[in-house]
Amino acid sequence: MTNHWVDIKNADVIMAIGGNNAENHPISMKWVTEAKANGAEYIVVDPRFTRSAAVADTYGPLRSGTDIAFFGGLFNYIIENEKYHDEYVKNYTTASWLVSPDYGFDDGLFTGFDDASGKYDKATWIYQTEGEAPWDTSETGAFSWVNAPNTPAFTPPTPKTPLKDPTLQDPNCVFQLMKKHYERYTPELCSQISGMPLDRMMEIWETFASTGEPGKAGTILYAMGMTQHTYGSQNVRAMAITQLLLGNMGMAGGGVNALRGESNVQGSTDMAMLFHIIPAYMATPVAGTHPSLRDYLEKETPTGGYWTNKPKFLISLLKEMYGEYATAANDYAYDMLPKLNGKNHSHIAMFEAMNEGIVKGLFLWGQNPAVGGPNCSMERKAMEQLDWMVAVDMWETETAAFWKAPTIEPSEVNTEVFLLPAAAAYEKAGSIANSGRWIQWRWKAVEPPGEAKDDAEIATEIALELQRLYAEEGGALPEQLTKLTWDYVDEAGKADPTKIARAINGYTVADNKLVANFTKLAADGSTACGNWIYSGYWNNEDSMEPADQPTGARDNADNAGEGLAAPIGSYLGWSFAWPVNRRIIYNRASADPAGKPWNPDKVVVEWDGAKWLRNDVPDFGYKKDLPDGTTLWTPPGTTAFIMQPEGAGRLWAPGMADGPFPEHYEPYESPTTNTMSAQQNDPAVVVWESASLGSKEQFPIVMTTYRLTEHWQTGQMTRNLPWLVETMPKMFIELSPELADEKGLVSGDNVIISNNRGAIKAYALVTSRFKPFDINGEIIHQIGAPWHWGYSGSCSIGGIANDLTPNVGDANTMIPEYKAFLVDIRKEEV
Amino acid sequence: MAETAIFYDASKCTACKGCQVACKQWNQLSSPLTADEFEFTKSYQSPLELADKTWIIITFAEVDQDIGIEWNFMRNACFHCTDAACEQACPTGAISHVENGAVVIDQEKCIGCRYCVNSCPFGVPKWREAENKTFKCWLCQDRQANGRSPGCVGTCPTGALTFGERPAMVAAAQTRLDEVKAAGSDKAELYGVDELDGMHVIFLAHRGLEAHGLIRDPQVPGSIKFWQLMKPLSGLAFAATFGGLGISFLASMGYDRDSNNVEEVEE
Amino acid sequence: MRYIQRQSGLARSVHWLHTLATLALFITGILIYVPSIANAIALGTMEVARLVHRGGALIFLGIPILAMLIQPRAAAHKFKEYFKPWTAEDKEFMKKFLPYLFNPKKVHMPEQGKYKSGQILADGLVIVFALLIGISGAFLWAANSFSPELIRWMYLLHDVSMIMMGILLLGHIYLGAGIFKPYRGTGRLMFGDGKVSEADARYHWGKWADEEITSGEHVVKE
Repeated sequence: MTNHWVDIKNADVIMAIGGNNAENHPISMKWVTEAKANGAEYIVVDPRFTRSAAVADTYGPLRSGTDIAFFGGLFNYIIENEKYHDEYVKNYTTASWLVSPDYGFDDGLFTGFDDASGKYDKATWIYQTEGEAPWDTSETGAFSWVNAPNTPAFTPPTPKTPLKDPTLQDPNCVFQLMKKHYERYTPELCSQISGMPLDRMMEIWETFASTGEPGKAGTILYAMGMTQHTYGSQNVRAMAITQLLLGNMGMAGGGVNALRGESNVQGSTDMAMLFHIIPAYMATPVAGTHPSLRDYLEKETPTGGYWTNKPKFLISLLKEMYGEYATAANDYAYDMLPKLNGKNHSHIAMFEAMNEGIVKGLFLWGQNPAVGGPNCSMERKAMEQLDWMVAVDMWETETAAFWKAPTIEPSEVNTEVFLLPAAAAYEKAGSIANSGRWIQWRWKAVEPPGEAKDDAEIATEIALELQRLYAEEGGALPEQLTKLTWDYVDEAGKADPTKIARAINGYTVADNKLVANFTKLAADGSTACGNWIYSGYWNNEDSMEPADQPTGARDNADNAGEGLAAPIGSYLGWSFAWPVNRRIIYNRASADPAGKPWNPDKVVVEWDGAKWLRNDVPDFGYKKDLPDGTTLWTPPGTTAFIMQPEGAGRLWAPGMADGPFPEHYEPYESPTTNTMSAQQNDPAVVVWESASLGSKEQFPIVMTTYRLTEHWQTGQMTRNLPWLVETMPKMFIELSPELADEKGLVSGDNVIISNNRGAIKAYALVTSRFKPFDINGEIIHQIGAPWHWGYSGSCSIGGIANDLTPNVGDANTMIPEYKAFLVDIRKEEV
Repeated sequence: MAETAIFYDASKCTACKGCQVACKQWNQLSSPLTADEFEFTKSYQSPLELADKTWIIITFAEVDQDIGIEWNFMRNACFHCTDAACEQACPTGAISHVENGAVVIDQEKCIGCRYCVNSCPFGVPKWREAENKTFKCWLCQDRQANGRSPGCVGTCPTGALTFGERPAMVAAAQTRLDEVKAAGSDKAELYGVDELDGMHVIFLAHRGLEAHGLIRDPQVPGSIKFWQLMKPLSGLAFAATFGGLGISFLASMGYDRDSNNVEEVEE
Repeated sequence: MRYIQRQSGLARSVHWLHTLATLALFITGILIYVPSIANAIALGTMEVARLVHRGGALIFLGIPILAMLIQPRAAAHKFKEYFKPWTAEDKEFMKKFLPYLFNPKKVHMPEQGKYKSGQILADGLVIVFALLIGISGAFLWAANSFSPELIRWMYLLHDVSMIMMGILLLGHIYLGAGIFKPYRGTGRLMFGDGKVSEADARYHWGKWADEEITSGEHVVKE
C-alpha cells in the first residue's frame, strides 16, 4: 500500500477492483465503514457479487481480465471531461514531458516489437532531452560520496535535461500521447468488452473521477484480481495513472493500495523472496550484464531520484552479508553474490525446469504449490522428477504429500521427502510487515509443540551445518558459504531474532553502533545494513528489548502534528512503517507546489512559510539539521516523487516490458476476440507448451478463482480446524441460474469442471450473484471457485481449482493468469 | 448493574462469520472433527441453523436485482427479550433474567424438558441429547463480569457489533437509523427497542425487517400464556373437586341405606 | 347371603394394572409438572420420573387394548352398552346425580341397569381424555419431529387432559372406594373377588340385579 489501513477512513471515494476486501481483508472494512459513515462512496468492481459488493454503494460487474478496458475508458472520460487535477498533473506528473517522435503505437503494438523474439526493443521509448546535467561530485556537491575513499570506482550516470511543454499542447508530450491512445476507449466499446452495463460504468467513472477535484481523495483497493493476469503489471499501472490524473497519490485517503493476502507477504517481498531481486528491491545481478561491481553500479544506479543512493545500499548489504571479508580491495565480495544466468526463474519457470530434470531439489517454506500453483497437476507431476524435497510446514500439505496425490502411484515416486514441523505465528518472535508497510514486532506467546521449530532456528541450523561441511570438506565455491556472516545467534547458539533485526537495521562497522536510519548509510564500507528500507526500525542502541525499539512501539494515540489542528490517523507512535516511519508515500503531493495542502482538513504536510508542519514523515528532504544545532528547512519544490528519476509521477512508463501505456488485450484463454486491436493477447508474454491452452469453442465458459473469508490460501491452516471448516465445509463452484438451467443443474449437484489441463469435482452453488455477461453482443457465462481445497487435511478435502488454471505468466513479472481462463462444466453422472 | 445490550448494524456487517467462530472459541463449543460430519449447505450460510453448540449464526438472504443482488445479512442468536417466552415456559426456573438483562439458562436447574425450545418465537434454545440439557447464548456473562464485551462483539472487524449499556445502544441505533435513512436506505428499521418489551440485542435492518428475515412484532405464543394459567387452574380444579367431594362426604355421613331408602322397590 | 359375580378375573387384573399405572403416572406427572419437588428429592429424580412416566403411559394405554384383544366379544358387548339409547331412568339418574351426591339422605335414585348412565358418561370422558392425553403425550415424546407451535398446543392439551383425568379419578376413588357413604362395600368388586352382595346390587343396579337373580347364572351363595 502506498497508504495504510487506517488511512482508508480519509477517502471520499473508495474503489475496490480486482480485490474483495471485505472477504479477504476483513479489517479493511473497519476503515471503509468509518469512511462511509463520514459520507464516502464505496464502489466495488468485480466479476461476481461479493460480500464487499453487498455493502457497497455501487457495484459494477466486469468480466474477468477486462480491467484495462475499464481503466482506459476511465482515462478517456477523465481527459475528455477535464476531470483531472490540472495543477497536480502539470506539476507532479510526467504529463508535460516530451517523448521521442519515433515512439508510436499501431493497432495493438507499440514501436519496436520483434516478432521473432516476442520482445520489444525499447529504443524509441525515450524522452526528448537537451543537454546534460552531470552529478556534482565535487567536495561540496550532493554526490561527493562518489569520490570518498574506499568507495568502489564507477562512472556515475549522466542525467539529461528533459524537454517539457507545461501547456500540455505538444503532440509528443505524454499528456497528448495519452489522450490519443485512450480516445479509442469509447464508453460503448469498453462496455462491450467488459460486459459492464454502460450506465453503471459511466456512473462509476463519474463517481471516481469526482476525486479529481482538488482536495478530494479517492483510494483504490486491489489484490490478486488485478495482478494475476498476463497484463497484471499493466493493470497496476492503470491504477497508478488513474490516481496521478486525479491527484490522489500522496493524499490522505488516496493512493494505490495493494491489500496483501498473507500476514507477512509484504515482509517477504521486502526481504526479496523472489528470484529477480535482492533485499530492498535491488535487481539480482545477472552474470552477463553485471559481471563486476562496477558494471552493476553503472547499470543499476539511476540518473536521478533517491535511488541514486543505490551504491550505498548495495555496499552496506554486502558488508552485512560478508562482514570483514568484504573489503574495498575485493569489491566488497561482490563475486560471492549469486548471479542469474539470464533465464527466468519465477514460479512457472522453476516447475518447467523441474519437469526437465534441471532442478533436482526443492525446499518449500510454508508453500503448497501442489494446490496453489497454476496448472498444478502438472506441477505435482514435475515434483516426481525431484531427488529430494524438504517441506517446512505446520501440516503435511498436499505438496509434502504429493506422492500420495490421487493421480500418483507412490511406488513409482523416487523423491525423498522430508517434512520439518514448523512453529506457528504465536510460537515464535520476530517482526512482520503488513500491507501498510508497518513492521510490527510480534512476541512469542507459547513454545512450539513437539519437535516444531521456529523458521529462523531451522534456517540457522541448516546454514551453520552447511558452513561447517563446506569448511571441513570443501566443495564448489565454498567461500560463498564459509565467508557468509551468520552470527545471528545467542550465547546458546540458538537463532536470535533481535540479532537479525540489528543486522537488518544496519550499524556502523567501526564501533558496531546502530544507525539512525538509511540516510546514515555509506558506500565506503563503513556501514553494514541488511535491508535499507527497514533501516530505523531497530535503532535504539540503549536497549535490545523489542518493546524499546521503533518496531515494538505501541503508542495508540493519534496525535496531530505540531501546529496542526487535527490528526489524520497516522499513529506515528505505533510500530514503524518503512521507509523512515512514513505512513503515506509520496505525501509531498498532498500539498500544492507552494506547500499548501489540497485538503486543509486532512493535512499530511504543510509549508507554513517557514517550516513544514507534519502529520506524517514528509517524503522528501524537508530539512537539514546543521552542526550548530539549528534546522535548515527546505522550501517547497515540485519534486513529489523522489523514488522516480523523473521526480514526477509516471503517466508513461518506458520501463515496462509490454508497453509504456496499459493496453487492453484478452486473457490467454478468452471467450471473445479483442475488439480493441488486432492483437488478441499481450504480445510480450512467454507461453510454455505445458499450459495446454484451450479454445472458446471447446471451453466456452469463463472461470475465475478466489478466496473466501472462511478459508486461507491452500487451506492447510483452515481445513484442519473444525471451527473454520464448519463455516464453509465443502468445495463448490458458483454459477448463474441461467447457466444452471442450460446445464440442467441445481444447487447441491455434483459437477465436473474441465479443460485441457484437468478436471475437478465440486458442488454446484447456483446463485444470482453470478450473471451472464453481454460481451461484444454475445452472452458469455462466467463461473468461479475458491482454490482452498486439496487432498490433504483432516476435516475437509475437495477438488483443486488450480488444476484448471493456466501456467501462463505476466509479461513483466511472470505472475500466473489465475484469474481468467476457460472451462466447460457438466453434471456428474452417478 | 445497568442493563447492557449488543447493537448489530446490518448495514456494516460483511458476514465474515468472525462472530460465529469467536463464540465457539470463547464458549468452547466444539465442531465435529471429521470431514464427513460437514454437509454442503448450498449457501454461504453455514451452519444453516442454530444448535446446542452453535449459539450464533449469520444468515444470508438474496434478493435478485438487475445488476447484482441485494445480499441481506442478519445476526441470528438469542435476542434476550424482556418478555421472554423461554423464561415463562421454563418449569424449573432454570431460565431467568440476570441483572444486566440477559436471559440465561442455569444448567444445574435445567431438566431438559425442552419447553423453552418449543416456546421461543425465534427457535433459539437448543437441546443437547447427550446431556439432556438446553443451551443458548448467554451474552458471555463471564466476559461481562470482567468488564469485557461478549466474544462476538470483541472480534467484529467492521464495527457492525458494538456493546454497552442498553440506553446508549438504543441511542446509537437511533442515530445510525437516521444516518442510513438520510443516505437513502428508506426501508431501514430498528428492531429490539420495543419488541417483547425490549430486547438486549438491538438491530438496524437497513433494508427492512422482512428482507433481513426478522419476525415483525414477535409475541410470546398464546399457548404459553394459556399454559401459564394451567398450574393455578389445575390447583383450583383439584381443590374444588376435593371441596365438593368433602361436602358430599359430610352430607353422606350417617347415611343408612335401609332407613333412607324409603322408596326401595318392592318385588 | 347371595352374591352376584359381577367382574371377571380379566377385568380385575386390568383394573389392578391400571391402578398401578395411573398411580405411577400421577406421581411422576406431578414430579414433572412441579420440578421443584423432583429437584428437592434427589439429583436424577427428574430423569427417572420422565422414564417411569413414559413406561406408565405405555401400560396405561396398552393394558385396555390388550384386554380388548383377549376378549373382543366382551369388549364389543360393553361398547354396545355404551351406545344404547338412554331410558327415562337413565336420564333421571343424571338429573338427580348431583343433588344425590350432596344430599343422599333425601334424594332417591331411579333403578338402573347393568351400567348406570352416570358411569357410562364417566367412562366415556375417561376414554376421551385418555386418548387425548395419550396422543398429546406421544407428540411430546417425539417433540423434535414436530413444529414448536404444535408441540406448544400439545403441552396445553396434555395438561388440560391431566386435570380432567385427575377430577374423574378423584370422583372414581370417592365413589368406587366407598368413601361416599352410600357406596360403601363395593371395593371387592375390583380389588377383591369381583362379587357384589345382593343388597348392594339391588341398590346400585336394581334392574340388572333382578335379571341376575332371576337367571341365577352368576349367583353364588356364601
